[in-house]
Amino acid sequence: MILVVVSASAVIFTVANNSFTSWTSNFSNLFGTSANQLNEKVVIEQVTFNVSGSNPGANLYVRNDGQALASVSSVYVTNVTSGYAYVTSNIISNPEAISQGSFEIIPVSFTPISGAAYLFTVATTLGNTVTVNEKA
Amino acid sequence: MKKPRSNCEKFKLRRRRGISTIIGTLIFLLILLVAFYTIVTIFGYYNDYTQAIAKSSQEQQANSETSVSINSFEFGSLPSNITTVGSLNAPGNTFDRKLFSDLGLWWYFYANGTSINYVTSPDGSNWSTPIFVNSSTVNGYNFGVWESGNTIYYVLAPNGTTSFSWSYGMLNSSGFVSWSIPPTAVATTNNVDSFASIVADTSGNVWVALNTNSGTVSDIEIWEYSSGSWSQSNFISPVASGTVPILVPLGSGVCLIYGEGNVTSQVYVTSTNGASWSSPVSPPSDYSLLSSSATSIGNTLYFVGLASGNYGSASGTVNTWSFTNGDSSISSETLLNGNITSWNTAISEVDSRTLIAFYGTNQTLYMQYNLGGAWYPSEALSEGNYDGLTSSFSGGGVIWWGGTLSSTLGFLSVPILTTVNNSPFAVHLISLYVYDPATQALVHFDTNSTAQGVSGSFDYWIGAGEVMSVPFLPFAWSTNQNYLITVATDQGVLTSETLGSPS
Repeated sequence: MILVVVSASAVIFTVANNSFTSWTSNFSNLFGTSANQLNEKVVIEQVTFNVSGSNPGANLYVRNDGQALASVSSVYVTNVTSGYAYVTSNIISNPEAISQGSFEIIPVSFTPISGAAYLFTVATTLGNTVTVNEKA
Repeated sequence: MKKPRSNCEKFKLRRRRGISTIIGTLIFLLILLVAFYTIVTIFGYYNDYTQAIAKSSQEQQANSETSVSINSFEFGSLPSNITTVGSLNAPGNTFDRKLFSDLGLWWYFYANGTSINYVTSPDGSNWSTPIFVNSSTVNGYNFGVWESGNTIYYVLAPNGTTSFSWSYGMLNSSGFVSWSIPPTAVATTNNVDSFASIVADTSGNVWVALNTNSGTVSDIEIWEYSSGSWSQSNFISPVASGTVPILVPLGSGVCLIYGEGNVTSQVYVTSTNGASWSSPVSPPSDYSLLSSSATSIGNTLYFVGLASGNYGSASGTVNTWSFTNGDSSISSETLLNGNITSWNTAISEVDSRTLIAFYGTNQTLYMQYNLGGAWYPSEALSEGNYDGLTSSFSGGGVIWWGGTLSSTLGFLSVPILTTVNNSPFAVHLISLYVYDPATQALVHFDTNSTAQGVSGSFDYWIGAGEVMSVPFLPFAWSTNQNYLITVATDQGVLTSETLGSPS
């Protein structure tokens, strides 16, 4: 009888513990990820263009003004002057972590049209995005 | 009929039920404990999340109240040779103000023992040919210049004469001067010796100080031009032979610094509002005034010079101190450079808040600045030979001479960014971009001064409601271009302004 009670109790405790652990993990992911997203702040401080030369495109100066490391995962470029026509996207396969307070220069290769305005959208690994309009 | 249980059997049964209950209760309590811990943990995550929301909201609120604007940006100029002045005596003294900026031009006056001339430049790199003022036997050290409100004043103090000459005129944006009077002599009390200094105070009165001698005794004469006539305001005697007088205008009245020129000696500071002169006060160290300079902001004098703890030295450290009109003593001294050598020093003010000290010796010219608090670390501006140098009273221009330059003068001006913080709190500026869209050239100053492409450090706090003028190391720029100047805060707030570079 005791053996039955102990066995049953162990099973019940294991199931309960696994459930609680699962809930904890889910809520951790939910709130933790959301908090990290809120704490993350990246800013595009400057865009320079290479209209002519061997490496046409633009350089984005992106700074991490948030509380923890931030990583840029992709950059999208559209031509505002041409009605937001898609220009290019740069998916970064190994996103480099930007330390808090530091900046990173992210190159984007395309052929800018002098005088045209471009919309640059930078996305981070946490899903935050930041945009800037600049004229080549 | 069922046989009743014996007492022994009943005991065994009750004991098995009791143990099971205890085990079950324990497991139940354990599950409750785990559940409680889970709830606490989940609440912790939720709390972090709500705090993140609150923090984000506060930052958004703060960013919405952050207002920083770019007042102005002076592009400065890289080191260049400006003119050949004929002799090493022509440029003058470190405390002279023969270099100044007015009406969109740099102006520089010099006297080479044959004539007085000046040159001008719109950008600090391209200078005019020398423009003749008049013939004179004076050299740079007995020729003083002062500029105030588009008016230029000068004094000539030829050695061995019994008068000084003065003149004034209006500066023109075309680079010419309309002289109001020819050089006009004013009789001195004693024989004119070596050095002369001239300034105009905020009331428009003109002051001249020069060292004279009676043949055996040296002295300093201070003259004031007010209401159309000259009168002697002060006569300081006896002083050491070769004493140098330096006049500096204050917010009200003028200040005089005097002491020996070629070697370190005790220096004296006295001031007047026009009625009487204050009792002289002295800094702790001895200074060589021919290697020193002074400027002012309001009623406070700021001095930088070659300092020594001993009399009679031609080498020393670079020290600075201040004196406020009405005070009974000079401020404590601040050591800017502790290397003991034959420094030449000059000091300028910018926008009545920033001080820039320039000092050099036989190899390197340094800049060190103060934004209203402590002095920032020195920065090397240029490599060369600096037997002498002088700077503008206001602004970031500096001229030097010596060594392989011979009698050719070198010039540079430091770029200066002026920002205004209209926020109700202090703001931390961490990045400056100077971008030419036409040439795609970018100059970047950043809090991460060693990062890729960064030309120098940029990390400043600007208080609520304050104006801040920051000098930088000179950089190359193109004339007649619209530059995009962008400043970034540590909270990601950006401020940009499009400004044209000089033509």
